[in-house]
Amino acid sequence: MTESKTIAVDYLARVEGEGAMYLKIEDDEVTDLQFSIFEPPRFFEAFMRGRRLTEAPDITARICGICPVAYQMSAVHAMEDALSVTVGPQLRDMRRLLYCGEWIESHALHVFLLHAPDYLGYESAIHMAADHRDIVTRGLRLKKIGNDIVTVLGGREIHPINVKVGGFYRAPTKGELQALVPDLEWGLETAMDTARWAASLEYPEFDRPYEFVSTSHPSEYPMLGERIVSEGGIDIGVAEWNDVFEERHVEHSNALHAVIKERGAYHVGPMARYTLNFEKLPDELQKLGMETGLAGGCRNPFQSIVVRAIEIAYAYWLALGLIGTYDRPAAASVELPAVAGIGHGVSEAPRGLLYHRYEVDAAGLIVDAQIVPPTAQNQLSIERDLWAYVPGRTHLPDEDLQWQLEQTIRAYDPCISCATHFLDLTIERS
Amino acid sequence: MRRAIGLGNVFRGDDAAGLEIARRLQTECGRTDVIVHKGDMTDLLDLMDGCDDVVIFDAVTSGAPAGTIHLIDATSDPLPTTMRFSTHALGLQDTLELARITGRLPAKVEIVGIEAGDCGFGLELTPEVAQAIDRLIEGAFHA
Repeated sequence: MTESKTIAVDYLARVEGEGAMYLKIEDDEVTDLQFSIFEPPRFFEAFMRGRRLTEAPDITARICGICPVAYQMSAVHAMEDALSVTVGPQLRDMRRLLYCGEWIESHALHVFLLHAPDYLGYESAIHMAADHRDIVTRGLRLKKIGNDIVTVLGGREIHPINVKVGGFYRAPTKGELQALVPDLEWGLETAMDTARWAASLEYPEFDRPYEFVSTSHPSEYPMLGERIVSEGGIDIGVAEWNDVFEERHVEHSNALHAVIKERGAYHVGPMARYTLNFEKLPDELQKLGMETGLAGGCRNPFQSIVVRAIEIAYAYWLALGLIGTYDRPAAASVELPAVAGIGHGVSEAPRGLLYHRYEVDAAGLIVDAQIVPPTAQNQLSIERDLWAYVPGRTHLPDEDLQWQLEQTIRAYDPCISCATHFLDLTIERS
Repeated sequence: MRRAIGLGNVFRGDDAAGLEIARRLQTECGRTDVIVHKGDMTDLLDLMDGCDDVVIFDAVTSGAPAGTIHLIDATSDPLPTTMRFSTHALGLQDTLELARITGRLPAKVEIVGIEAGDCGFGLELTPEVAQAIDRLIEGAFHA
């Protein structure tokens, strides 16, 4: 006789966005599964048409309150590509420094307030804080320093106002950046300790055969990568994104599913970046990777908390280096020509590769826009993880299975909407 | 130190109520101890540090008529869960509890909640909420 069941969760906390999960289990197998994003479409790509190209970084920043810098960086890259403009190394370094702040803000929020409660057995960070006040206090301070970096470079800690196509409105003084150094030194040490602590947590055995995709750079662990690479042999220029990948509409989700045209699901984010670019990390962080047991790669989504901690450490390390060599540029931005063009831009949002494409006319207006956020790219990968996780674990009580399935979703730090925030999870057994 | 902080989202209709109160207290009443919050709830912890008396203005949904003004003392007890202050992962209730648990809650914390009528996309306040804000600002002039 076939045994099947459904488990329902009405409210999955600690994720960003409105979505639902439905699972039907028969015997030891999942027979139906839908990860649905019912967050209403927000039509950013449509309403950007006709707006000035210079507005793109400020408009797209509003897609997300946690990773606005990512939207700004991919937008300015794409616009500058469309106008055949290149910013110099000083301005590029300012962008990397701003991005360090965002990686720290976003990853610290996820590691300490959203993800850690899963491993320590608490419903939320609030419940966890009662017993682990030191962990929460450390996480809040690590995050605050990220906010401070974004404030100095971006003008405020959320939705920065200092970013423009062609550079910045104002470059900070050396003194303004130097003031951050003592906190950054504390942050680097603390983030490295955080990775060691995260590695000591208990994880289910669950290695997945992902095809990891990230940007790449000849010498840098990528924030502002220049090409797109994968373990499956993809190595393309940014302008070729639509040749290799495509976005598909599926009935059960308001977010498009991005797939590799030839092979389907792929995975972007910290685990992909880490695995594809491990040798680009500084020596001390490669050693930290070895010490934490990850070595040169990570395929277990439950261990992504360790990877994020290492990336927090990397962002602190990089911020210290960029401030050390900072040379205030004579001009905070470059001039923009009035030309028509098509441009492509990528950068590494905390949650993974973020691709933008714009067509602009000679009057400086946006004719067409395409924005592919990381969570849209990971949707299929999340579904595949859930399909794979259940077999062999159907003996678990519903409550435990549900908790672990929620964890597999939270491991992606999904930014389902970058807007309002809940996810319904239903598992059916009958 | 005493400080007042206005919270909200300027692009979500009545959710801007707390921001609007703080902005008007700054510009119309010349209050320098009032902060217009920028949106990151963990930043609220830093803004409360060093204060012994904090007033927080925010939109709230509890089922009461739009424009109703709720005064809630958050000093000794968590905010009521029947009221919704935030659509975000880390809301006002959570942030105040984090402050309480980590020893960062000021000696006195009072919430002035403005019952929202419509928190849909848009820059406009509903008339009920706009009038409630007028009443509060008028009261501040006479305080």
